[in-house]
Amino acid sequence: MSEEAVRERVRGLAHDMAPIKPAELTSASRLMADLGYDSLGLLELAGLLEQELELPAFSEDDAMGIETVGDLEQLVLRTLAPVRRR
Amino acid sequence: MTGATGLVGFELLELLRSRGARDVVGASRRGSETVPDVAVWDMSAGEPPPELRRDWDAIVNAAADTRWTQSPEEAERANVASVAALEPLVSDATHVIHVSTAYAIGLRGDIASPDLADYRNTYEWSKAHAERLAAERFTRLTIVRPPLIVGRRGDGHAVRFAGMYLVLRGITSSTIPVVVANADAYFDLIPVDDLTELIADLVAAPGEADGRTLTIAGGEGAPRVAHAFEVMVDALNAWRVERGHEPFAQPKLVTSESWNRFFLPFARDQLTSRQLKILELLENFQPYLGIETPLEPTHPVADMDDPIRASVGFWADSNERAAGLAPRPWKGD
Repeated sequence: MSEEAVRERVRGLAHDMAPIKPAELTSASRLMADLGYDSLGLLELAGLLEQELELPAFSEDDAMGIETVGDLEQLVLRTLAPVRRR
Repeated sequence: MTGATGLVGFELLELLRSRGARDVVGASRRGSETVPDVAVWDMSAGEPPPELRRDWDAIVNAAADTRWTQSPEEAERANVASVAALEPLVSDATHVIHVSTAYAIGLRGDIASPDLADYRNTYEWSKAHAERLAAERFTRLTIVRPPLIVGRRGDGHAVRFAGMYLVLRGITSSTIPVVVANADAYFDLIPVDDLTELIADLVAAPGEADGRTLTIAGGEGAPRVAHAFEVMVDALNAWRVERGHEPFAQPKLVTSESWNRFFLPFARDQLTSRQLKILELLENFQPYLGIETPLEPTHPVADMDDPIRASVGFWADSNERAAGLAPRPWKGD
């Protein structure tokens, strides 16, 4: 899957699961402040991303500092990088 | 009207305008892409914007952060500082209608205590403090206390999903292995439009309610936990089956004693750290599934089965991806 395709999947899932669905979701959209995610919602989102993209489980260190959709895209891309390089 | 883009505020703004109320202005921390004329105002951080600085006949304070997981500082900022922030806008003639929660009475049955230990969570604690502050600061005040709130009675429409919807999310994302609850406890819910009709009536004619605290709730007539869950999950499954999805089994209700003695030790051994973290967060909902003393409403609400069904349907329509997830076994990865 290309990098852009991965980003689209992440943005799509972040949008579909968001408590507040904005007219436009971008990489700059803030997960909690703009999309209304709470702590539980973020954990659910992480689980679904792992499931849909067949990722290994994110660690708590991975999740530190994730504030925007773009941060989430980068995390998923980093996690996928060893797989995508094969 | 503060909190104009929230669950209550959005409905109330529409209702007041549809009733022909003159010069209704909404305020919200985020502003709104869809609701016209909503002033942007972070009540916890700054003075009212210029467009709100005038004389008001009535102010409805529906702004709040309803999350149960807030730190005391967060809850204080969101729910108490916002009351203080109204002061520049309130004259002796302004009728302030403060939207609180029926659970501001905490574990003692009153709002007097400043001690967090007397409340189930920081939300209740902060709402009790907010009521005390409002009573000190505002000459003309009506406090309205609802329990958990769901969508409109007829079509389930809601712009935000909290409370009961947390459980729905937990069920559809297969993150709730069992529900820790007292099956016979009162699960008091009201439709948002029952609440907004009451508030709109107060705006139009404060009358005898000026100076009073009103509780709008099911009380003795509220559904019991087991029945409410049955209605909720049956409604979810009707939506799912119609769309070719496998239905969910009704979640098992277990007492907190069983949970602590049998399930939790197993969970700690078998589950991932994320699953355990989810369980920890969902524990915040448990107090509302074990309330054995009914609320005492001044405005009773009845017949919640159809509103629950409608609310579940609307949530599912608005969250198709979440509502249509396949059931997954609940075990460690």
